[in-house]
Amino acid sequence: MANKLKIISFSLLCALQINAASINSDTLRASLSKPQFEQTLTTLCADTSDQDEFWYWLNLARMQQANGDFNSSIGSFQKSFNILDEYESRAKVSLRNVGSLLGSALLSKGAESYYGKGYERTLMHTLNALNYAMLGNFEGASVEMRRMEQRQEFWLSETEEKIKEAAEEKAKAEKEGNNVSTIPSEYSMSAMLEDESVRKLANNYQDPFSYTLSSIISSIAFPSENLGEVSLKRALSLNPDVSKVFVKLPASATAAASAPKVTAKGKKGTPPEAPKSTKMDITVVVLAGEAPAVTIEKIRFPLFNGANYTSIDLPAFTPPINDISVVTIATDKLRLQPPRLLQTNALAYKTLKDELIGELSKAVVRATTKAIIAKQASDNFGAFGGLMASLAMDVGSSMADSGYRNWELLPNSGYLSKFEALQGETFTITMNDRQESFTLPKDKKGVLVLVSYITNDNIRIDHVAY
Amino acid sequence: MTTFTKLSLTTTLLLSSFMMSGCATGGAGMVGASSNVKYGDAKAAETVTADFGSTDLQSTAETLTQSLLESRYIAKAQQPPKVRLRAVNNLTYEHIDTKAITDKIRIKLLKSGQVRFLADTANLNQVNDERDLTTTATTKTKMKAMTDSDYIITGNVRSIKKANDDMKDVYYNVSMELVDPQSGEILWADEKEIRKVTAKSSVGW
Repeated sequence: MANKLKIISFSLLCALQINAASINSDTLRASLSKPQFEQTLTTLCADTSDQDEFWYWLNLARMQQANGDFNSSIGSFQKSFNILDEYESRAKVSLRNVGSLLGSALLSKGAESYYGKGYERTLMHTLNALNYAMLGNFEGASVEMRRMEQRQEFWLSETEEKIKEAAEEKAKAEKEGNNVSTIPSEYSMSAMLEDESVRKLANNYQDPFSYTLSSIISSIAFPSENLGEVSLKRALSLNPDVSKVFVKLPASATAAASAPKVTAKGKKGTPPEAPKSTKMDITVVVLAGEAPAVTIEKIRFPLFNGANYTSIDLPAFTPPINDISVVTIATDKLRLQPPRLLQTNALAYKTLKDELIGELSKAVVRATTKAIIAKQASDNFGAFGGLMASLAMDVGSSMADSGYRNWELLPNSGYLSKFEALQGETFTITMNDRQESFTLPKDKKGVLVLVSYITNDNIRIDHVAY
Repeated sequence: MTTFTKLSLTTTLLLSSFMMSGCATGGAGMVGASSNVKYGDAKAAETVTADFGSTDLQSTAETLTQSLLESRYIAKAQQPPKVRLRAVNNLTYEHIDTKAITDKIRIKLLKSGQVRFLADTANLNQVNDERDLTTTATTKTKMKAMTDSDYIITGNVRSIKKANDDMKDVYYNVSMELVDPQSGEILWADEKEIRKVTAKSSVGW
């Protein structure tokens, strides 16, 4: 009896906990400006209702990184890695996976747990590498970059399975007389998926930003070995603009810096204790904006046999926010416009495009299931019963769908530049209308500068010298 | 905080204390009560995960130290050579504390009495500071003796990970070299290879 009471109490406890306070996607993305940022971070840290969600830890990790708390950010990334590791090492026939698959196939897309898409799994390691780098641990950063590549292998095999599943679902749907090859005209993402930036992408998980950064980090961590060469070649094959990342100081600039100074009388003087080389390597990483947030879009249509209706629900995206269109870096000798190597929105749309046939097939099956239930309710309880059944299913699936979230605070853009400058020089970074300046140290080989552009009024610049 | 959340928290606290009272026979922090903490054999094989673990650390240090001590540059040296152990590069997919490897090897080598160790380059400044406190005049010869090593030991840890639907395979390779810093000649090199395989269960939660 006591045990039963405990089980009931525990169930009640769990039910209550599910409804404990959490920040929804829209509120989170709207609360990132400078005056609200700290409060949002505190609230997110205190939110216990979503701590078993992959996306929760990723959102928290980005906020902590943008707050300069790199150690906490590493801890949060590790939590998300643990969730993903557990998912990747599940049994071949996992009851949870089967349940999730059935739930999403028959009832609601929101019944699926979100374990991230290929680009998110790649970028979580890339951003974590930056955490290690900003703490001066470049070897740790290079470990993260290798993990990034490792993680892609599982995504590939998972994607292969999804393609197989999609083909089976499509064949099944077509057998039942449903057309799953045509995207519904009401679907808001139709045009976006055909955008040139999406069509140009080689795949949905590899980005030139991560590979270029990997190459730079390897060259800092292991300067005597050419470990970054392969990464750089991959980056170049994904986007030829990668070649614009690396800029050398003109020979005349260094010659002028180290040349003996000419005195007023025209005689050559010796510069006071001139160092052998006054050049240093500067790497500037700008992570800007927030990536598209996933939503479940419902395309409702009435059923011919009464007042009841059903809906096709498909994943869609809200547009990216707080992004910048151009970055300019200026030193005394150089004026650079680093290429936008990370285009998260394009990767998100490409993933959706690649998965759309499978999603459409599942959506048709769900819509059919709901239609059958609504028709049975209509047959037994009349048109009002059918309508009530339709409404109940609509509201129920909408509630479940609201919990289906992605990494909403993933940067939407990544700009990268590695250039030479003179020690002690000041350079400026201009992002849209905001200009920030940075003075270089005088006794180091190089500096890595991380610019976290969260909103137009919330920009943080951190650096580490090596 | 909403009323609902407050109610949720209050319920949580009440129910937690209720449930705890029924199942707890002794907390981990209670002296004298039975806890979940037990002492294990430090040398026993650790197979909690396929990551680089204590067993790998021990076997690596054991194998490489033994091999180094048997090399003619150490075994047949007329007097114990001065050695500096550099950091082992971590080229794996894990955040391995490679200092634990070098520390263990250093201890084993020192215990053998066949080599003498110089402070790490990273720690040399601290050693210098200490000398300044105790010695007012440091001769160039003494300084040279502190910085000049007969040999340098370097190393790398690498790993290859492969996985399919049924299993995961991790291969570790820990390699070390003994280098003459004057000539750059590699005098000794050896490696320790470790392979770990984890199988996925067919059916599970």
